[in-house]
Amino acid sequence: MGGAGEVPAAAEGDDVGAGGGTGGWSAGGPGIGGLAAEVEAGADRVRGQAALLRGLAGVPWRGAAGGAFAQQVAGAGAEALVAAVLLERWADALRVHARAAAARAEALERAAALASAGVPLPREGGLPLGAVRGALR
Amino acid sequence: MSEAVLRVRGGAGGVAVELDRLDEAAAALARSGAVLTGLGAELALLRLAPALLAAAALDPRGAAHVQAEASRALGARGVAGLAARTSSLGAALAVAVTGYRGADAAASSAVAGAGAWLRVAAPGPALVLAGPGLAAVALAAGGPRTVVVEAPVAVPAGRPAAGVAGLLSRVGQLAPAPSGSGAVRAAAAQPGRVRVERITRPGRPPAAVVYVPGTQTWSVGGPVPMDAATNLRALAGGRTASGDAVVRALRLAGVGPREPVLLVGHSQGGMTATALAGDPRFRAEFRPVAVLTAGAPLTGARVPPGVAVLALEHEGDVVPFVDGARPPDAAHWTTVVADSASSAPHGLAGYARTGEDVDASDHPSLLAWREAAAPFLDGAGARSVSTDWVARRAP
Repeated sequence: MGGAGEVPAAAEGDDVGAGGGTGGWSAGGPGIGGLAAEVEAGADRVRGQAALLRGLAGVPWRGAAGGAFAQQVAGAGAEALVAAVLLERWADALRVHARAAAARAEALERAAALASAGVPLPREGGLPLGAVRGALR
Repeated sequence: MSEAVLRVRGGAGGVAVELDRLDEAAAALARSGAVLTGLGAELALLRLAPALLAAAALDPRGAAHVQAEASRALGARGVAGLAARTSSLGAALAVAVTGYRGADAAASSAVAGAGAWLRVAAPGPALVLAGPGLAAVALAAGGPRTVVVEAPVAVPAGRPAAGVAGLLSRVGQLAPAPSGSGAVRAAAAQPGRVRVERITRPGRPPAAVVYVPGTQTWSVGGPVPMDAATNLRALAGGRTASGDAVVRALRLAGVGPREPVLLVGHSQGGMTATALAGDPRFRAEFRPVAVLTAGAPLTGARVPPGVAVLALEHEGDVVPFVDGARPPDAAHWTTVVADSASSAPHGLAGYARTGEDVDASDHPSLLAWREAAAPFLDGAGARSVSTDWVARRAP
């Protein structure tokens, strides 16, 4: 999972970026927040399959082969839960990424405004902020 | 679908299953696999969303992290692996269901379809049977019902067998062939005999050997327990009249729960012997410690490790292969495959000759089996008293 230590985090609840909705960032099309929601919905669907597999494994299958079959289906059900968790982590990473990108965009916008007012542009991490101002618009 | 027919397949793995429910499960797994495959494809497209590509310029580390998490979530441990596993489970189950249904059809033609081995094994003309549902009828008719063991026939006292060859020769003495004279001849001519041999030796607890003959008649469900119906039931992993005959003979002979027992069987008798050795109910009443079979399809019998199994098979003898199962490769289960010195590779006489080679071998596995069988073999001061018990299915 991403986490605040890896990428700059925006303030909780910031509406960052047009088109992405709350928590999203977009350069057109669905925002990252929207992508995260889609991934989350995918995790829910995988959990639904896990429930189905658990149901199949719970049937009292008879005989040794029946037991082995139930064990395999139960194993698949457990794998489904792991897959759902991995999707959740992907969704989390997307949200963190959205906040970080939005925060950076905001900083760039502020720098561009300062430059328009004749204030010398700062450099951030070696990046001349003025050079990317146009790209952000 | 009758349970009896399901047991035909069950013999290969001790399984009884409900095909309709398995069908539904296979379909559900296939649907689940399709859902997951589609979901994986949908989610994979999200990785190429324009928002992600643009945000990557602003937060490259975060973008790399997102892609790494996406790879994990969609990869082998994630949705793709799960989809593959679920689909393959569904496909495997569908194949198994087809197999079970095929077993149904195979059972219906088992007697005719297995004609090759029946003819090899049969002492007389092969029985010709046909018609739908035959196997079900045969399985039902050949059930144990009540097996009556008639008055015992004493066998002259003597010494235990010296080895594998001798043990197998004694099984051959149970063949219903006219020999001897008077009452002995009449008894020896009777089919359906099981022999229990009690062995004593100074300073050692007694031991028992039970000899189980192969198929003696190709009728189905008649009075003789060692018939074609027992073959079908044994292949299906079910309880057999022959097995019940052995149990009754051991009880009547007074074999106790602590007395070590060696089960020796040829062909169908080998199936009966291994099935009993693997049956918890039998082991609760008796103490099988070793099994010797010759030319027997062992149908995946689950004999526990405490029982030493020695199975002899001849190249060219098709009978051990009719179940389509191979003997397990286990420490307690030794299989010997040999060329037959006889023109009748399934015949007991040929197996007895192979037994001589086994007795002469110093292969570690064979030495280990002989050690397990030592209480049943000839030695200093050993004596044996045998009784033949004639078993009949009650009408």
